[in-house]
Amino acid sequence: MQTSISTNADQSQLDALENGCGIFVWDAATIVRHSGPDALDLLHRLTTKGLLSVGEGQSQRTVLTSDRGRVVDVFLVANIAENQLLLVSDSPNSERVVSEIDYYTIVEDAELTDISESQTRISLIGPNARRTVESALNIGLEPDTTARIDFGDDPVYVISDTSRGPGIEWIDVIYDTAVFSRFVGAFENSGGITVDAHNFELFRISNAIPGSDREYGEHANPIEAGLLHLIDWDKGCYVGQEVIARLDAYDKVQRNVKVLKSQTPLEEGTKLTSDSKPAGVVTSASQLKPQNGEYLSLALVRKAYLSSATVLDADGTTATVS
Amino acid sequence: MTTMSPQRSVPINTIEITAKAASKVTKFAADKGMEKYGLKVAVKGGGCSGLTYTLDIVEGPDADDKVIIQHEIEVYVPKKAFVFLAGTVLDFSDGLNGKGFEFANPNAAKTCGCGTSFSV
Repeated sequence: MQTSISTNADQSQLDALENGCGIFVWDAATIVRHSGPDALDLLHRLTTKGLLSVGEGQSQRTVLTSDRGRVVDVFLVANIAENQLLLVSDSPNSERVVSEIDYYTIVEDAELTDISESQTRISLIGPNARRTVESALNIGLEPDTTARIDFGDDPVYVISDTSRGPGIEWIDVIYDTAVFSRFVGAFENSGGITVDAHNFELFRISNAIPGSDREYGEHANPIEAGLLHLIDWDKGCYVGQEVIARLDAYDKVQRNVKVLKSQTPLEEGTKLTSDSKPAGVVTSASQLKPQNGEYLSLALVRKAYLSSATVLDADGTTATVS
Repeated sequence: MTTMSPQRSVPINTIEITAKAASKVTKFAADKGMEKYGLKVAVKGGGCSGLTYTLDIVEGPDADDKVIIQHEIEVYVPKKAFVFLAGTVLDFSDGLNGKGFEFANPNAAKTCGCGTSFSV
């Protein structure tokens, strides 16, 4: 349980994310090179999205689930060159996705190299994100594509991701950690504003963007975790497909991700109740006070309590479903 | 291609192909006009339960294949796949309700509904 430190949100950072271009530098993220002629086909057989059509220069986010239909990780597959993929996820635990894919690599000609430590990831988010990247790096970038730029001896990969939410422009930039400050400066000079982890988290929560080991993880299936749009129902088998198809076909999904509003900040992990009956659990909670004065959290809320304006109890604090 | 429960004990250093399955392999090879052939049995990642059986009629073994000869059929199993297949019986079920090639794999802890994939 985290300690509450309540401060005001930085409106200029939130404005950049909502209306301009916010620059967020990840402290830790999973960045893996997956190479070999069988790499894409293997990921297609293992994950929820059809990937065979992701050609060179294109990208697609997908979900790796366990044979029990629970989320192992969600990652972006960027086809950066012939038989060369870059896998990028929000999880700080790269070992999880590497070991899971490695386990299923049997006769396939495919190799995983974890480069998370040597590379830095920046996400540029907001309606001006693409313009900012194009201006700073002097490139053109279409939605769901990836571009490579040579920066001295080191390649820089720029990956567009339209899967984060309706209308959310999100671009990931991956490059050698040694030169990362030069890129942040270039993006700031092109109109971007650097955002800190707390304001990024508030943006993520307010837009109901599922987070790693928060809304999704081994505790949740991808449908309840708000990842329904990353499942292709007609692609055929993948690990966990039978369980996930059954959950959908028989309407067995019991929870959904919802934004909660409260007058005081909530704590992650707090159980939600309604008339003393279990109603869900808080999965992400911002400690920042937004301009309108209502604190925001994300929760996995049980089916019976999903309606907007439903009032729940969070260990003595009133939380309203948004 | 489905999975069935093991009905007999097969040494764990081999896999067994039944006479019926062997005759089907011979027929399929003849249909393809192949004079020299063998049956490649392998496992790849994917399918509902995570690991999927693959069957191919090929001209010969690859360098790292384990070669097993039964009923005058050469069976090739990649060494990396053999750990998942040791002790397996490969049979063939025909007729209107037949399911084609069937695997009885003692290593499979769980199989998917259609039987083409398993987990250990």
